Amino acid sequence: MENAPDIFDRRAQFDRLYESYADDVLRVSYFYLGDRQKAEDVCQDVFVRLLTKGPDIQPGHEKAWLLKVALNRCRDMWRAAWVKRVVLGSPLEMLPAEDNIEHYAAKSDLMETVHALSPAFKEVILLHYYQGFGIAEIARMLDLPEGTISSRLSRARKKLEQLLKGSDQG
Amino acid sequence: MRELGHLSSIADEMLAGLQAGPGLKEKIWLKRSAPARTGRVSGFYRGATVVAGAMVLAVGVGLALNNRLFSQAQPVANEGRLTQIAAGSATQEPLPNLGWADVPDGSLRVGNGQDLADAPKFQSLFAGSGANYPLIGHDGKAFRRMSASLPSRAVGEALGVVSLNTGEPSLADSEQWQSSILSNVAQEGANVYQIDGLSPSTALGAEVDGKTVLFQRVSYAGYGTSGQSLEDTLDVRGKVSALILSGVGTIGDAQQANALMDMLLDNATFYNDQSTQGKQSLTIELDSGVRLQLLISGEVFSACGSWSCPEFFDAFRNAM
Repeated sequence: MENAPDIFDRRAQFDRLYESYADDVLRVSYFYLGDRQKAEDVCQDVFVRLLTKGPDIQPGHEKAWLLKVALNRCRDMWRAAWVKRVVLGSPLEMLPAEDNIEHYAAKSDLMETVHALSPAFKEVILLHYYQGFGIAEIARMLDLPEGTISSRLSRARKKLEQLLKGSDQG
Repeated sequence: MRELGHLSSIADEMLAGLQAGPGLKEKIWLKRSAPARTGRVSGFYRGATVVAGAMVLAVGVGLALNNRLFSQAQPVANEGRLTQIAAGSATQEPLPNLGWADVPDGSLRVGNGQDLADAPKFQSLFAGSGANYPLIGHDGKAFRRMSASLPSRAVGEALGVVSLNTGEPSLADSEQWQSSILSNVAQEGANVYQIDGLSPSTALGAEVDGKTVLFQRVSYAGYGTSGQSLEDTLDVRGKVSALILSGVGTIGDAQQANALMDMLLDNATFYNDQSTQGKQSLTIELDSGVRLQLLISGEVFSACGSWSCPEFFDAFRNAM
């Protein structure tokens, strides 16, 4: 049974990390899955795991740890057929702030196209271009060699370019 | 792709309405605090449980005797889980439900019109198991025996004979690996052949117990790719008649199969120099009747070395 100081420390860590990174976890999950409820489920699972497993996360790498767990969860969900029946074909719903609802065609095209990438490409694009991680950090998060990450990023960019050109031509 | 440089600000702007608020936070904290079930049961309840269990058993036996248990079971829909019913079974009992994380990698990627029940099952064509499987060492390369038969028309020119039969090929020195043909299954003096249409860096044939059998290039005991590409170790470009991806389906059209193989050979990136086990396989049927195989773990293909090519799976599914 946990003693009071343990609960206090864990709650303090949870509060701090939730305030700092829960939006990122939620939005990356939503970008991946295209389903708000599923994204909230992932966010919940990630932070429950943080609380219950009580890992020793290296200071300065908390966000990487949270997103790694989130992506693992998203990947599991994505591969389940019943999720695909719900998610595939659903356009990514843009959720701008209420005072910022305008028609951003090019921006929503980009968002949709990133969302439409295969999971492996989507992950590296989201981690590098959305969340700002470098190749070395991404390689550690995904347990892949740096060369594979570089190559994957390069191919993902090409794929994105093809898809965006295709959508421009109607 | 200048737009990608702005993805962060664009995404934050377009998803500004999506926020992890205090409601979600409290839900998480409460979920973590929910008491776990314990295994402790008091003596009284333990006794009551035993009696109840016995009553259930008695009722169950009675029903079985009346053949009531052998009626068609109805599938149970559980939210978030898959329910499978075994095909062709008279009892139609449901299989254990699979959770998201239990599903084998790639096994539920369904193509157009392909029923999951028809998807080819995983079966490794690599013979033997453990660390000392049946192999041939030639020219500093390792080749593992395949259980698939080798058509006689595919046997090519002779490369030489086995000069060393050893039960521990990993202990043979590099000089022996480079300059002789060694094996733990083919006897000394057994003929070793090229496979017609394939380079000797991809596959060999050798006489084992009076029959010429197929050996495919693998990584073994430090003898891996030696800096070669996937295509160098799997010289099958333009020679494929079918591809079988276990748990998914078969591409029997040679043109499509070769196009997919080209994509794999052109885009696979080196992962490591090991041969790994997998729960999935890509069987490559060649025009010559030879069958080679790559084992798959996640999105990594393995035979001689391991190679990553995630886009292959979507391409395969689209080709179906």
